[in-house]
Amino acid sequence: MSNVISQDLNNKETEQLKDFLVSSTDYYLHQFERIAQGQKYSLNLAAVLFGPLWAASRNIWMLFWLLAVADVTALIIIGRSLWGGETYPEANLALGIGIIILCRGVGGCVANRFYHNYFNQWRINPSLQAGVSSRRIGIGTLLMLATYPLTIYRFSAPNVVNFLETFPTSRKIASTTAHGIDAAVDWLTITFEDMFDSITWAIRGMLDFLELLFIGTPWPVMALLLLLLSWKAAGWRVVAFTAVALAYLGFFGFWDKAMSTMALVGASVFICLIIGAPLGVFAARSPRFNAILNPVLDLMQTMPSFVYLIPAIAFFSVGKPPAVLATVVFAMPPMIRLTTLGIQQVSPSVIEAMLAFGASPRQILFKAQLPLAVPSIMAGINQSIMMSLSMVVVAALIGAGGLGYDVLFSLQHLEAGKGLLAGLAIVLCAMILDRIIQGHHKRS
Amino acid sequence: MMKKNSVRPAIECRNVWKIFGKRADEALAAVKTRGLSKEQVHEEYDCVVGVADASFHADEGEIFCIMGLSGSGKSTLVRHINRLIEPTAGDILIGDEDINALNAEQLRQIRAEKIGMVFQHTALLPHRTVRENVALSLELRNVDEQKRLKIAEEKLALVQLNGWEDRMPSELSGGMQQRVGLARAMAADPAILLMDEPFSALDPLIRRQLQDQFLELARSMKKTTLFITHDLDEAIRIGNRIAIMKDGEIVQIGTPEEIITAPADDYVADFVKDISRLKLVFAHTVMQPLQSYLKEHDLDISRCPTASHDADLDYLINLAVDHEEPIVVLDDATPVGVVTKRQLLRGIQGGDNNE
Repeated sequence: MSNVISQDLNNKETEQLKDFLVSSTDYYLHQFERIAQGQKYSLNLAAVLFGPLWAASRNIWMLFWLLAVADVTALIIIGRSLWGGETYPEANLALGIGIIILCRGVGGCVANRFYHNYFNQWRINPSLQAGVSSRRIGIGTLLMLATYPLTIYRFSAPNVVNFLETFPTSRKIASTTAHGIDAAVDWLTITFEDMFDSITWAIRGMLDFLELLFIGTPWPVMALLLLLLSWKAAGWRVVAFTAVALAYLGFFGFWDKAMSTMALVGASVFICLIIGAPLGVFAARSPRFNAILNPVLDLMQTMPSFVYLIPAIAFFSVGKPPAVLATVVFAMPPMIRLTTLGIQQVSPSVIEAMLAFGASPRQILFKAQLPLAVPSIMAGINQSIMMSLSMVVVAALIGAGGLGYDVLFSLQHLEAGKGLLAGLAIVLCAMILDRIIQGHHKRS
Repeated sequence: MMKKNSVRPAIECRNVWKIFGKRADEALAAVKTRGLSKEQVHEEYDCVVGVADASFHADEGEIFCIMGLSGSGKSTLVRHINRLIEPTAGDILIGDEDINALNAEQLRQIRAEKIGMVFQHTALLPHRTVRENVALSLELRNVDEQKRLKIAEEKLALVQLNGWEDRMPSELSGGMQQRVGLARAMAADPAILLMDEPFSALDPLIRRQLQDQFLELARSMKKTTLFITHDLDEAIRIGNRIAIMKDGEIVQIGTPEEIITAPADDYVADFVKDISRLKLVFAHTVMQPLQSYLKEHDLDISRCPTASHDADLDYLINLAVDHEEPIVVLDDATPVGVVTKRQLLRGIQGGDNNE
């Protein structure tokens, strides 16, 4: 009985294999059986002779490229020895031929295993192409023609024509575009002067208030408040850490600058929150808006900040307001992304229940989605704070002052010790804020 | 059972179709004109038929069960009642209101005030206490806080959860959470309850307890209930009438006894074959009419044990064990039929009883 079944299974598998192989079935049936029995290597003569083209014909493109790279390497060495002349005196014809024989040999040995793997993939996904096709051989030949001659020529010829080595560049396109952007920035600066001025004025107002709060408050009161906050939020261990960190800031003379930096970070994160959270909510509700927003956020995070410092100075002049705005550009993406994530993570069954009890879209947002997204939004605020702190040195470049200025000053005067102390102060500020917020977040 | 009176049914669905997919309207037209099967619809239009031509009604105070396996469209169908899903075609009436004709605000009002819903996975708000969860529908209608929390406490007492008001849902067991869900559905005192497999995720013992508790509540509160389940035992325990769904279609509607004694097709018959008939089949179904019995046999009716026409098989077995004579079935004191031991045994077995 069991024999009959296994016979049936064998027949079925053989039929399947024949569908897959199409041609040279007898050879591959035998080879695959040997692989299944644990014999790892066998020499596939077709693969040795035709190399990449065999792989292409059987639709194993990974092997195609591996064999092609080996071919090209060997052919370059052969080419150098044949016509490289004095430019490549070390080239050796025998070495080149040796490499090509070795690589084809190895290729022939592993070919059947690659093909067996591909058969297994095909069994899982029968829409993959099977058999041999002249179309694929054609594609393989074209690819070889497109890559082989130029590459071999470039690396083996004694004198190479110029246009192969460098991309044909037009300096004119770049410079006209750059000038165009310059003109646009100038035009914007003049046309929207009032708007930029009022933004500057609003940010400066907020900063002045925060600085008054942080620096104006007598340091013992401020320190006490910070310690109380860390005790409330995160317990005794964080209080001890905060106390040590604050002592460092005080004794090493960084207190005022640290508070000024905190004011700058506070202002930036506040702006990130009031702009980023609504954008995040909106992105969570509209997939289309999300699709547009995503590349913009990528741009904001990856564009080097120095690039947008230049127009920022043009629009908002130097000082703290443009520093805040540059920080916001860099620190807002995680705020938006984590808000979106938090809202999207709310279970659809909760939304359905809200709907079933007659909730309006607004009620769903404020009574279910936002409260359930709070942990994620808090993580967003935390990320924004950390990223703002990483911007303080760049912000100091355009006159934001604070701890960043000390780092910048040491950099310009090559004072390693002073720079390290100021850098440590920035790290401690970040850690105090991080521990307080994370502690709060874990407790709730 | 429920006798239908002249007033409109509490819930009525007429020829409801739901086809999912971008070309739902075309697909529906094709189904109606060319009579495509579900597989053909899927192939030609890339649409999935969720509910196909479903019509039923539930009377006021009735518990109407919709029973079917997963994927049979029962949850989809019930979501049409409060329009969480819009039908591709067909009418849904709540009382005499066409639910699909309402605007957004009217719809929210009817959802909050007239229809309560209980979900399989409870769907409680995890950031709110039990009490606040129960008060949700009232809160959404801006009932003032003191009043809604008081009502919530009353409803929690109904499901015997006093003392748990200030806990978070995650602190409660699955069965308790589902009772909170039930209390939440009843908070606004809606006329209609939609229960979407409320007890399916619970273990058998707890499920049984909750079924009993729910039946007790339903009898005292007289709410029209649509009860979704994939478990025929549950449907039979709870439902006044049962609709059986298969592949989006309703294949049979009837009382538990009708479903058991006269399954509409092989599919339903396959379901009911393992159900115990003792409490579900009654004397009037298994009896032989008195006249036809008297033609063949002599019978001294005064010596026979008697049973009412709606006595169940369990009761008839006890009578048959104690007496040698066949049982005479009475309808308002007049004898109408006879149950012999042979018929009784056939009735328990579930075959044709007059062979």
